[in-house]
Amino acid sequence: MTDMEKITAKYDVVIGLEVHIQLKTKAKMFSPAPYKFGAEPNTLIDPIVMGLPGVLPKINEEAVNFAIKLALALGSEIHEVSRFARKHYFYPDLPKGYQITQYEYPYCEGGAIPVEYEDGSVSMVPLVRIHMEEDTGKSMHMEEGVNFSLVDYNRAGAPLLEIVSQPAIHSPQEAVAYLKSLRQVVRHLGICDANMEEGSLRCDANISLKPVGSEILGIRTEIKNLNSFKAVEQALTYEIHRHYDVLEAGDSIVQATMLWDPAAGRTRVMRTKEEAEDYRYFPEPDLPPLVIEPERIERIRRTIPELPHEAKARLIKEYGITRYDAEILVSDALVPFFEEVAGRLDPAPAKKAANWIITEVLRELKNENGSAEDPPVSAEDLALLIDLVEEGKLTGINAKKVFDELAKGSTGAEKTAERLGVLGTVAMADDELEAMCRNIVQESPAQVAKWKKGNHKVMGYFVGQVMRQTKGKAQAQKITALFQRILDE
Amino acid sequence: MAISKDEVRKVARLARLGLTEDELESMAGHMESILEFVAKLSEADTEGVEPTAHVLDLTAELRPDEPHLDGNATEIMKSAPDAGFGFFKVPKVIGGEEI
Amino acid sequence: MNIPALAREIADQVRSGILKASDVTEYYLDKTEKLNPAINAFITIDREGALDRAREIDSMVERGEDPGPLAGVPVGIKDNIATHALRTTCGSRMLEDWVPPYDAHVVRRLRQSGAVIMGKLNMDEFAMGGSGETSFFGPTRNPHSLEHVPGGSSSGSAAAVAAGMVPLALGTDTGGSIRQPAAYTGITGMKPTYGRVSRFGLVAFASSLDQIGPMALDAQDAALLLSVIAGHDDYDSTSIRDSALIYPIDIKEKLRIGIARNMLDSIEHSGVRASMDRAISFFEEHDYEIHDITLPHSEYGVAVYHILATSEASSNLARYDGIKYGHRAKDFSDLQDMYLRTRDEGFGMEVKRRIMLGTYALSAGYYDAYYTRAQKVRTLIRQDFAQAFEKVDVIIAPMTPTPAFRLGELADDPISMYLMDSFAVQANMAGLPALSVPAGYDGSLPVGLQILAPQMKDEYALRVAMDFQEAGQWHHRVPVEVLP
Ligand SMILES: [Mg+2]
Ligand SMILES: [Zn+2]
Repeated sequence: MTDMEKITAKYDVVIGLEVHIQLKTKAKMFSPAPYKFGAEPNTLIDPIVMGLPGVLPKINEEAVNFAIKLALALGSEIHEVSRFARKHYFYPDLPKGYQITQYEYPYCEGGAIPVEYEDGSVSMVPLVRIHMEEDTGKSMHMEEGVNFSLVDYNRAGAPLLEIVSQPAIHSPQEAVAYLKSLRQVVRHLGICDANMEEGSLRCDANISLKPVGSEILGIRTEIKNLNSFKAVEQALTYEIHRHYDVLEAGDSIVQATMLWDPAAGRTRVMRTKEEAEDYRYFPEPDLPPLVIEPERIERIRRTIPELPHEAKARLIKEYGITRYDAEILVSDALVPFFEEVAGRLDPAPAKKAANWIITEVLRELKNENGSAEDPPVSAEDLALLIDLVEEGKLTGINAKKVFDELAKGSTGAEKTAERLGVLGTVAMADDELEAMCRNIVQESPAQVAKWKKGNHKVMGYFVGQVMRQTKGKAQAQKITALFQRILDE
Repeated sequence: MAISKDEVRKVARLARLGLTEDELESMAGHMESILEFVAKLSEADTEGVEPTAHVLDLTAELRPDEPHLDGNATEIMKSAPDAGFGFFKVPKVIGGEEI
Repeated sequence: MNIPALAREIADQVRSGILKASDVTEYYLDKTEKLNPAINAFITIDREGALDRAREIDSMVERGEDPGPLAGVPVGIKDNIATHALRTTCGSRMLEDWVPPYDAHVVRRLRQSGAVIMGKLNMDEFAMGGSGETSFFGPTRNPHSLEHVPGGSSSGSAAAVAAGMVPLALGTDTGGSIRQPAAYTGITGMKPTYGRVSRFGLVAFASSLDQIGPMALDAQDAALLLSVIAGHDDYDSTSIRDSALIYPIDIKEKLRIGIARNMLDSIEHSGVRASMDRAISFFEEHDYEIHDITLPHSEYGVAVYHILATSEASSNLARYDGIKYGHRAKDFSDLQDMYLRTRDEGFGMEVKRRIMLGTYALSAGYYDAYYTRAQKVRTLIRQDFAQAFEKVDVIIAPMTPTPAFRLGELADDPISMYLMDSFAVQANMAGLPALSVPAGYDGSLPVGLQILAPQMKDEYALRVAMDFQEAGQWHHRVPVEVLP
C-alpha cells in the first residue's frame, strides 16, 4: 500500500460528510408512536408509521425545537418558512414508498461544526445545511442461502436531522474528529444519544481526490452505512488509496455509491450514477409550510448551553483547572454542578472542586447509574466539605466518609461530620502529637529499617498508625512532615 | 411531443409496474395523447406566477411530543401478506438503505 | 310502517321514539339486498354490524339518551374511507381483502352522531375514473337507466342514494367525483371547502385535491350530513380551525349570483343547455342580483388537474408494494420482480395509466415543464375565482357537458372521459366548496346545476341550492328503473 504521505504530496483529499442523528423525542416525527432502541420487533408501530392507506403526517413540535437548538448552537441561519417534500424510492423498510424530508427549502443553512483535536486546537468545518426528516424501518438480512429478509418497522418514522458538511474535511482522521465533535455537541445539547452502535448517529461520506492546489474537484464516490468511527476511518482510507491507484493508472473514477464491507476491509459498488434512483421530489401536499416564528427561536436560544469547546476554554481560563479536568467536566455534563460548587467555595480554590467532582461525584454517579442533573451531594454540602478540609477542620479521609454519608442521603455536611465525630482536627498540642509519632517509630523497628533502606512506601504505615489512634482527626500532611523529620534525624 | 417505448419502459421501471411489451406499446400511445392534450398549458402566461402547492393559507400545526400507541400493532401485522417471528417477511433484500 | 326517505325525518322520528332504528335499518337493508344485484352500488353490505348498531341506538332512546343528529339513519360509505374491522377495498384488487385497523375521522364522527353504517360503496378504482366502470368489483349502474353509467368515481354512493338504498352516503371528490355522479343520478352532492372535512382515513388519490363530502336526496340532508363530518381534526395538518358547519343553515340575505358565462357558452348539449337556461330564469324571476363573470383560465383546468392529480397519485400509490398489506403476487423470482408483478396484478389499467403519467411528470428533466407549470396555472385559476368573488357570493355553472353516457361508451376514449370533468375540476383547483343540485331531465336522465362558493362559504352554496330545489322539485323524482 502506498503510504498516505505520498498520496497527499500529490493530491488534496476532499471529504464531505452526511450525518444522520436520531432525535431523543418521546414520539416520532409525524406520529405519536414512541421509539426505543431494542424493543420487540414491530411493537412500536401504528397506522401512521406504517403508512396505512388513509393516514396523514403531523409534525412533532419537540423535533422542531431540537432542530432549532442544533441550528442555533452551530450558528446556522434558520429560515422562517421551510417545507417538507417527498423523496420516492422502493425499499422494503420504507413504508410509504417515499420518505418525508426537506429538499428545496430546508429549515436551516450554513453554520459550522467546531472540530476539536487531541492537542486542544479547534477548527471550524462549515456546513451546507441541516434538514429534518423521518427514519426508515430496518431490514434484517439473513445468512447465505435463505431467500427472505425480515423487516422491523419500529424505527420507521423516528425523527432525524441530516447534517450535511461542506467538502471541507481533508483526512480520515479529521473526519473522525468531526464526528466525535458533532457527537459531543448533540449530546451536550441533550437532543440525541449519538450512539453509533444503536444507530442514533449514522454517517455517509463522499470523497474525491484532486491534484494539490487545483480548484476543480475530482469525481467523487459516496460511501454508505459507516457504522463506527473505525469504519469511517478505514473506509475513507481504503477509498483514498483506491482513488489514488485509479488516478495514477491514468483512469478516471466512476461516480458511484459504495458500501463498506468491514469483514473484507473494502468498499463495494452499490450502484453507479447511471443506475441512480430518480427520487421525484415534490412538495408534501399533506403538510403546509412550517413557519418557525422568531419568538420560538428566542425562547430556545435561552436554553442553549455553551458549546463544549467554548466551555472548556472558559473553565481553564476562569477557574484555573487543567485541560484534562475541563474535558471530563464537559463530556460528563458536570459543568453546571462544578460552577455551582466552585462559586460557593471560600477559602478553597476551584480546582479542589474539580478534583472532588471528577473523583468522588463521578464515581458515585457511575456506581449508582445516576445523572449529572441530579448529583449525589448538593453543591452547598460539597462546597462546605471542601472548605472544612481547606480550613483544617476536617481531614481528607474523614471528609470522604462524610461525603459517603451525604451520598447515602444524610443532609448537612457539618451536621454529618459532627454526628460521625470527626469534626475538628486533632485537639492534641503539637508536642503531644510529636510524642505519639516518636512512640510509633520506637515500636516499629522493622518499618524504620525499610525507611532507612530507601523504601518510602512505609510512610503510609506510620501515618495510618496515627490515624487509627486519633480516629482520623489528624491532618495527614502535618504528620507526614513530622514523621519525615523524626525518621531523617 | 413523442414519447418512445424505451422512455415508457424506464418510467414503468421507476413506478415498479411490470408491463408487458404490448402494454408498453399501448401505454406509450396513451401517454402521448395525454401529453399532447396537456401541452395546452404552455399557452398560459405564467411569467412571474407563483406555483400553488396548497390552496389554503395554512401553516403547519405542530403536535405536542406526547407518545401514544393505539395498541393495534397486532392487528396491523395481521394484514401482512407474509410474516413470521414478529417480522414482515420479504424476498431477500440486497444492497443498503438510503435515507 | 311508513319509513321516510329523508335522513332528517328518520332522525327526528327515531329520536322521538316514533320509529325504531332497527326497523329503519331492516327496511333499508332489505331494499338494498333486493336492488344491489342490478345496480352493484355496494361492495360490502354489513347487515350484522348495521343491525347491532341500530339496536344500540334503540336502547339509547329507551334509556332517554340522545343518539345524535343522525339517530338511526342508514349511511353508506364510499369504499376509499377507512372503517375499522370493515373491509375497505378502494374498488381495487390491490386492497380486495384489506381490513383497516382504524376508523377514518369522518367515520368516527358518524358513529358518534347515531348513524348506522350499512356498508361500503362501489367506486372507480382508487377514485380514478368518471363512470364507475374501473372498479375491480364491476361497474355500477345508473338507477335512472341501467344502460347508463352513474358517473364516478363515487358511483356507488350516487346510485345508492338515487335508488333509495340509503338516505345518505359519503363520497369523495378530487376532480368532480361527488358532483358529477350526483348530477348523473339526480341527487345532491357536495364537495366542501378543502380542509373543512378531515381527510384522515380517506385513502389518498391526490392529496391536495381530495375532499370527502355528503351525498343526499336534497340540499337540507346534504347540509345535515356535512354538519356532522365538518370541523377541525388534530390528525390532519390541512384541516381548518373553526370549520364546523351549523345545521340548519341560517342565511337570511339574498346572495349575489355570478354566471360563469364562458363555461355556459361552451355547452353543446341541448338538454343541458335547456336546464341551464331554466335555472337562470329561476334566479332572475326570484329577484336575485345576477352578474356575468368569466373564468378565463378555466379552459386549462382539466390539463392542470391531470398533471397534479396523476403526480400526487403516483406518489400516494407507491405504498402498495405487497409487503405490509394488500395484494402480493404469488410467483416471483426476487424482490424487484415481486414489486413489478404485485403492482401489475393489483392495479387496473386506468390506475396504471395515471401512475405512469404522474411518474413521468415528476421525473428528472420533466418536473418543471409539467408539475411546476401546472402549479402556476393553478394559481391563475385561483386568481380568477378570487376576482369573481369580489362582486358575487356564489357562481353557477353547468355540472357536466352532457347527461350520463352509456356503459362502455367512452371506455376506449380516456380523453373524452377526462373532458367530462371540465366544469367540475375548477372547484378542486381552488379548494372551493361546490355542489351539484338536480336541475331537470333530458329524457329519463337527470341534469345537474353546479353552485360554487368562496372558501369556507359552503353555507352559501347550500342556501342557494335550497331555494333552487323548491322551484324544480326535480329532487323528488323517483328513478323508474328501480321501482320495486
Ligand atoms: Mg442525503
Ligand atoms: Zn437523509
